[in-house]
Amino acid sequence: MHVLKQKANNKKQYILFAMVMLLVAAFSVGCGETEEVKPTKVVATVDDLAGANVGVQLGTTGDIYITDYEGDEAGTKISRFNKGADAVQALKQAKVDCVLIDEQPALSFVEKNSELYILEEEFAVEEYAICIAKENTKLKQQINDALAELQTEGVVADIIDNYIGDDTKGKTPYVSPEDVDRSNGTLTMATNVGFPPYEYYENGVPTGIDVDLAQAIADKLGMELVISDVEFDSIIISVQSGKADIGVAGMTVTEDRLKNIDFSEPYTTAKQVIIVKGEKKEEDKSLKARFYNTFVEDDRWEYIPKGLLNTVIITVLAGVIGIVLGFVIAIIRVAHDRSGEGGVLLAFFNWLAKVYLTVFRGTPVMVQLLIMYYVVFGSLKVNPIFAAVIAFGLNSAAYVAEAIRSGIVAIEIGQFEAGRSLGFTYTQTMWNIILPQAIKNSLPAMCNEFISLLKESSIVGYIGLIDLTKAGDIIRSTTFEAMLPLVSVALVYLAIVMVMTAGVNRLERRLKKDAR
Amino acid sequence: MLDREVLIEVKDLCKSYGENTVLENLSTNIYKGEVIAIVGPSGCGKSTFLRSLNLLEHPESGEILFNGVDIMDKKVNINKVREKIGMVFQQFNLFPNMTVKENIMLAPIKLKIMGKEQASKKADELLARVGLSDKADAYPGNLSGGQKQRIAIARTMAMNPEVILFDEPTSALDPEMVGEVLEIMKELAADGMTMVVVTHEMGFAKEVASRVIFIDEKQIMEDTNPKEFFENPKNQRLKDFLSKVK
Repeated sequence: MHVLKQKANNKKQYILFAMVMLLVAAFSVGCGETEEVKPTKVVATVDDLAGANVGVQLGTTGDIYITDYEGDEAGTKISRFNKGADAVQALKQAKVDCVLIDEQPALSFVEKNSELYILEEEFAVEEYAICIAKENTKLKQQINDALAELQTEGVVADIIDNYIGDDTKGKTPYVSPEDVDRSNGTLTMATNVGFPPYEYYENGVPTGIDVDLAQAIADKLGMELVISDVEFDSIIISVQSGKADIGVAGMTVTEDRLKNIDFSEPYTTAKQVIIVKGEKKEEDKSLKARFYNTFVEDDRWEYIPKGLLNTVIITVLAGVIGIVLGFVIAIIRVAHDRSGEGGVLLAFFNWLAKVYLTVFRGTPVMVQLLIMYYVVFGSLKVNPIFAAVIAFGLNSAAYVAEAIRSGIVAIEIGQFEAGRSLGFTYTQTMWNIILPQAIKNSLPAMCNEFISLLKESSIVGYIGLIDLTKAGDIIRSTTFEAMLPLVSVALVYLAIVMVMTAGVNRLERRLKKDAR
Repeated sequence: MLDREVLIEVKDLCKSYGENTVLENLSTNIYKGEVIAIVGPSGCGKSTFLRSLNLLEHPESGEILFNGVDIMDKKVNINKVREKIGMVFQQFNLFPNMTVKENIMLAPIKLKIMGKEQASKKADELLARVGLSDKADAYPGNLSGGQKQRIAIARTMAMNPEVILFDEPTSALDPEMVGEVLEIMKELAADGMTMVVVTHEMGFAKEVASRVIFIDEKQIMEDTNPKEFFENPKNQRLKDFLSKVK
């Protein structure tokens, strides 16, 4: 009784400690935003780029251009971000001196952040086009034809005017013609939503010039448009591997890209510009306003439960695969090491299991996920959730197998001999005597495995899934508010982990009671 | 003596671990109803011999005939044979996650020898016999060493074996608990159970055994009745051994 009470107290202390740590973390983030940090180098013209710390979006033309500066004598540094919005956030916190990015997203970023402005001198002028797999010449022809028609009909100009230009904005929204026959299948468009006004989330739906343009093309071709939101540097791979039919993401034709992919005729021109940080204007920065901006406006809170659902689905299904496959592997390994019978076939399976364990425990789960999606299922159109479940399930199985195996090995050999001497076969002994005890032994290790599985699933954003982490990220990149979405996502993870831990503790205590 | 039925016949049994030979061409007969005590210095191979009888150890060569059938033959279903050869271990090896009664009932039920009710009845009988009826629902972790070993005996009895092998059944016990286990074994012997007991308890060998075997140097060195064995040992090594254990 005494011990139990003390345990409960310890737990309370633990929870309290966690809360305090979170608050400290949250405050330091919050303070970082209000404190005025000066950039290390002032960038006023294009010539000032040399020697500055330049933020870019990974894989954009801005990235390609500025890479020529990398390692120069002036000591130019490049910080590559997965999203333009991340680069802008870094600029706001003076982590970079300027951001090199396409003009239209730059305008939209500056509009939302009063302390940022765009240098008048542009960095480069370029043309945007749609990318298509090299062997897909038929689709390329169809898209070029559709584009030409849309250009002459004035639809392209209308779509662009609807998003760009203070006088024309919102006046000519694109509406699909009624009674379109969509019997020609689906047209999957890979893009990176987070590049306004070409593509961004509005009320949870991808919107923007590229989205409307792709819709107009799909209407012309009699196809159903499907949008796949992936990292910018994954768009070309997606199209190349057939996961997507086209990539539309404000993409400029460059020599390097042409080596891997084909492009349609350009549909618009754009400029690469430089965003820098200036004086900050007074804004409503009360917690209430920030909370409203983060969760209430545009119903942004809806991302969180939606993302959570995907996180839970992936964790649970991958967990089931992990348990089943992990069991099989553990039993093969133990059968081989213990029984000495079974011959060549068992030796082969044992070898296979060892290779499996080495590979899956020896490589990052992130790389496994990308390989699963882009290589193993590369030429097949699969639901990314399916690919994620398989990747995490296989990864988890390797850890579960070792947990169960060590649970079995920890059981005295005498238990096994007692079973065999009573007349049980190897399998019956395993099933009736060894495994019930082994599972109990391996419960703590397995619980840890499922907790890390839950947390590791946060990387599925890389294959275009919106999970809990990505949900927070979407809110952050639309509102430029980092603390609230990230801390609330962290709290949701923490709550699930604490519930899981409590559940397993209870189960463990019950099993322990049985044996005493 | 001669008209008694042979239960286990061991012929030219050889066993080695790598380079180290433990048993060499060992032969003997075990008759029904016999209580055989096997003694010898530690490491002499007496446990290996005992564990070979139900193939927990796999001998390199030789024959072990159980009721006339060579159990080393790959075609023989060793699991069926083991149902009839009970075994009691030095470390008891009770299943810690099951109650005492579940320990006893597990094998008869899972191996489909008895139905649940019949197994339960049998378990109750056996618990009464070893004097532990009140411990039916206890877990092994809550029992003393002596109680554990009595339950282990009851567990193996539940399979109605034709012979029980005891592998140093009292060696892991505190001295004050040795007696209660030996008492149960004595009763078993009186009921006519065939028993092969590897032991350090010379008192048990003297009082209860019908035959005592001394194993040393990979061989059976002396094999006779207890009276001869202890009062008139012929083998020089046995004489040395007995002078040491006295």
